[in-house]
Amino acid sequence: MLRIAALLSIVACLAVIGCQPPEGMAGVTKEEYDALKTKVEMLEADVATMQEAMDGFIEQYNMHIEKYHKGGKAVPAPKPAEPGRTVKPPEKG
Amino acid sequence: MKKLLGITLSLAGLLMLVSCGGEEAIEMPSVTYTVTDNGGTLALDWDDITDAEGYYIYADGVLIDSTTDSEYDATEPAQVYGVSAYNADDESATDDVDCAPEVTANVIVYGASDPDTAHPSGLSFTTSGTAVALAIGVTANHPDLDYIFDDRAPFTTMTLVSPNAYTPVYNDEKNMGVDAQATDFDAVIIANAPGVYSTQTSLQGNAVYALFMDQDDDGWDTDSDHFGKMKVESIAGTTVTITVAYQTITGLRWLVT
Repeated sequence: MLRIAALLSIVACLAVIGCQPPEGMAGVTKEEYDALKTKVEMLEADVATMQEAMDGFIEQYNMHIEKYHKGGKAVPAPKPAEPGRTVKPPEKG
Repeated sequence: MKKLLGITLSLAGLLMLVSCGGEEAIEMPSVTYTVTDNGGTLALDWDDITDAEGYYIYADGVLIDSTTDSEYDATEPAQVYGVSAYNADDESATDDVDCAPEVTANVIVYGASDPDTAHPSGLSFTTSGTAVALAIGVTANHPDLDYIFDDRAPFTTMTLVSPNAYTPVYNDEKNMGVDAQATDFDAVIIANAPGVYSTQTSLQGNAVYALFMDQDDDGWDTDSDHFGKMKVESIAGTTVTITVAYQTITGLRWLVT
């Protein structure tokens, strides 16, 4: 009888110990958990947006390289400025 | 028998000589011309031809008139005028004056605002009348520029500008344009008379413009002035596609194409 009581006490103790939350999780409420989850989801959305922008930028960069830096095609320089050249009033004739 | 054969052969030979002699062909007149009437008339002139009773006048191969004088004022624009001499039995070949303008189709020029140095904004006509696009940014091209396509300020639309309409000038030529009020290039058979042209002509697509190149800026004359017409096929951004005709006869406004 004594042996059975001792075994039951051990089982009860083990059950109490097993039901304790892991270290670090103590004190986290459901609300806090949900808020943290929302923040993580927002961060994931931000990363997706940045990735999309980066893909577009890389595509434009590749197009620039393809157009102006491959096959020997030179980048057109702007026309020489014509400082001081003005237009007269129109004349008939 | 031999005598009869000899007479027959002699008669046959005589007939051959008579038939082969024929009449002497009438001489073809040698036509010269001057341009008058502010470029609207081609005054034809030639020396009298012996035995000629008169002269036929042809326009583009069609007999349009005859005269007994040795001159004729052609006032109907045509590509070719011809004059032949005639008498009761004969007509000479025609001496032709070629009045057809030189046509250059689908020339591409660019508004001066276009930053690409490979995109010329100037238009030039060679001595044979062929139109070529020239870069205005190249100083060596400036003496040859006949027109500039300018869409820079103060212009708000694509504008055909004379080289002398700037300070400093690209060159001293006063080359002008005017809206011919037509969309069909071939329908414009004569350029407007001087007096209505401008050194700055606003352009639009699908329109024909008459050109007056008063190169020495002294009004109409026949020493160096030329006329032409230009169809603006399209204007897309700074890109202008044109078809042009250039009359190589100085001072003549005829533009039959």
